[in-house]
Amino acid sequence: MSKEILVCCGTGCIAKGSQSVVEEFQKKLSDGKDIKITPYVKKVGCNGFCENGPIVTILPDHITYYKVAPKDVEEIIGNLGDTPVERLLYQDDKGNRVRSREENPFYAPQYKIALRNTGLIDPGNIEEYIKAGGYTGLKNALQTSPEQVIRQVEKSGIRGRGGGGFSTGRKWRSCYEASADRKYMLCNGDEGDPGAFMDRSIMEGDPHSVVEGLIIGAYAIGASQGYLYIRDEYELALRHVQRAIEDARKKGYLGKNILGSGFAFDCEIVRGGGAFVCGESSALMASIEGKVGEPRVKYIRSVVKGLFDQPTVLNNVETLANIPYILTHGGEVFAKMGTEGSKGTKVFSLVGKVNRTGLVEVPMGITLRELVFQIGGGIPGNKAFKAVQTGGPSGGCIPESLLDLPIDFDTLKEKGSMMGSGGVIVMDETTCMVDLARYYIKFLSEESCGKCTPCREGLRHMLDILTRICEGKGELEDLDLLEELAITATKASLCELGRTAANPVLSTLHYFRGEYEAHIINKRCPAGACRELIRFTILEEDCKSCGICAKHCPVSAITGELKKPYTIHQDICIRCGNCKVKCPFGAIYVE
Amino acid sequence: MNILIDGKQVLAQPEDTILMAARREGIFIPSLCYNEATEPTHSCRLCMVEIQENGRADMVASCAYKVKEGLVVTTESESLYQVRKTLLRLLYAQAPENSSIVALMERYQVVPKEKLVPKEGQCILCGLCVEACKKLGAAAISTIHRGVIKEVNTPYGIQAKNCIGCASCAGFCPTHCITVEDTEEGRTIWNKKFKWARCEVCGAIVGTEQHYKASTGDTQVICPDCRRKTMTDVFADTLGELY
Repeated sequence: MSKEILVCCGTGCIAKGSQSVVEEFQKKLSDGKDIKITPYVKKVGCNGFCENGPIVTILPDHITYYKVAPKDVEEIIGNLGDTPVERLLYQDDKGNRVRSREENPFYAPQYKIALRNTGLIDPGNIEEYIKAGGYTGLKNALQTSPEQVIRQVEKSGIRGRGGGGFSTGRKWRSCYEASADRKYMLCNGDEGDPGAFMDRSIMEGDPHSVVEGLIIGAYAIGASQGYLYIRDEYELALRHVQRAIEDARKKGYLGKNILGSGFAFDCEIVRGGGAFVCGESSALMASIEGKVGEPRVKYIRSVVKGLFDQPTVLNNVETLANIPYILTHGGEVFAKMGTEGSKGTKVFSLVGKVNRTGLVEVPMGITLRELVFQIGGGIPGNKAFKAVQTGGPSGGCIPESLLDLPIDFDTLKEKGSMMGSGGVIVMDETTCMVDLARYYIKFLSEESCGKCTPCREGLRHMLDILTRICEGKGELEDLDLLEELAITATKASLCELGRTAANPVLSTLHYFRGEYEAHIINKRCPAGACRELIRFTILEEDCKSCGICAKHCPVSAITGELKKPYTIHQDICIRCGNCKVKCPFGAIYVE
Repeated sequence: MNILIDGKQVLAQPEDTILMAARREGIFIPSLCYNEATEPTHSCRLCMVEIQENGRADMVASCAYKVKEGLVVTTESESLYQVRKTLLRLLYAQAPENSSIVALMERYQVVPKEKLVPKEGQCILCGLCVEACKKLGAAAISTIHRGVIKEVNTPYGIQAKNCIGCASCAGFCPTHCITVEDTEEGRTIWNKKFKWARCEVCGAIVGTEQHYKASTGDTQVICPDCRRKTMTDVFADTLGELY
């Protein structure tokens, strides 16, 4: 019987050496005379559980191996027929080794639409995409009118996955109704949030779903030209999307007369130069036009006057990847999932202080608690959960008390955060919320386009103030000033980047004001993270005078002698925390 | 079309922005980066106003928002005051003691915040100079970098080949912070020295040599006065003395 060996070649797994695993499989299978079954080795896209890569899946048995090294290949091949290699299986929370993904707590609660093919098909092979049902959505679309396509999308209730959460159907309809000789259909692949890799994985692992979504969109609005704006750092994604476009063109899915329908559309890639602000729609369009990537005022919407002043639709990668599914299965099927206002599924990149990190796709409406504690497996090292930040750098922080809220566009916005593109960063008790706000404001102050005063100057001063507070030089009135700057940036900024830039400040001030006050009034950092406000001390009764701390201190700030407790000299100490990490007896604590 | 600004009926043209319609009626809306001769940059945000349209309330930049029939605009309110106050403080920290900003602060009775540590220089990065330069066809200066380190400069910070020394940038600058040094011999601006073009007849300065060439295309330098005089002589010669 024939078997398929799927080796994950997403960026994460490649970094962990999956290429050499593939080579080893190919080598072992070509010279293995005694192999009775004929396995087929396939490079597939990201499986999402990157921290346990390289991931190898055996079909049709649905056995998934994790952290596979080339030396494991022989054993895997040897056990293809009967029992799996026990030691390479995932160990669940109870310590049981699980064979399939259905039994794996990371995968079990997931439901995949946008990632339906990612990790299962060879992204470089259009035939595999077609075999998996690909381009059926396009065929269905071309057999109906653009109007009917838009109606399907409206029925699905899908909202933009890039951040704004605007109804995709309504966007398409407005552009369809705008009259112009030329219209454009764009894809936003300029994923810039730190720690986010949803779009990257889709473009790398299932590029045709994005291209197909783009073609369907173009047909619906009547566009003849499309651009996929992809950031230049996404080398693999660029290569795979380029290949997908070329293959689609050869197959007649792109070009002058698509599948004999008379509809003409073609698209090309534009590489983004790495500015975060170019993910904002009008800045992205300026960038495609060859201008400085700065947003413009959008009192006239892009669907009326966008790229080159023509009606334009811009959709995010994940949104487009959902479109073929909607056109294949119908809008109603998609709308069955999710909440009242947010339909379907959402891909999240779950990272931070959580046991299981990775890319997950779950139905809208799942609670943050399920995401963090069930899929993510809770906080490592028996530490306490503190907050979860959603929506990238301009999202807000949500405290423990709100963890049972369902995740959807409106709930998150109401609580001072946002869905954004789907970044979820988990923080534990050792994360200082003031320091966190400072980190994001620093990121945004560098990535703001710098055009309007409230965003550029507001961020500059907010960063100044937050830095002062972290250094213990803050005063209580700084909090009022922070709020004043944050509110003005929110109200008066030119684009959404500026309008949401103060979210990290406003949400931490709202939910964690006590931490700010501890920095200002007590001059201490409760999380033990702000260097200027902490000190490392050796607990005399626990110190065994081993001297390990002194040996590892980079500035020789620790002295002591046998049988007597060691001492840290605070005037020399640079608070790197090395001693605390190295002490075998846990005798060093932060205060 | 008719719009309502602060309770006053205002007749506006279809392509008007709120700011244009208001100014024509003598209604004051503060702004620093707006100049009707150039493309609006919408950057200083001082001209924010509140609007009501189809039952929806919003705060918008009046220099960018085009009027629509039935639009209701409020130019002064508590929340607008709060926003303008913060914006003026931010602008003041960028261009301390600048007369244009100080005048607006006095008008709105805003005191600077010491905690907002001032920046060096007087530029508020409104981008008017860049727009003016672009509009005049030279495009010798541009905003460079992004975020808090953004600035206006020539490409790579070296002498711009395109610069004709017309000093329009300086003329448009609302905070008057572009240095122009004019001497008997010529002008220095953006690190570039220019020689004066002098009228071949009377010796008056007509601008820099490059500016004169770019704007007239003439090889012979002649000032407007002398040109008029020459023309008068030609007319007199052709038509004869009438009186």
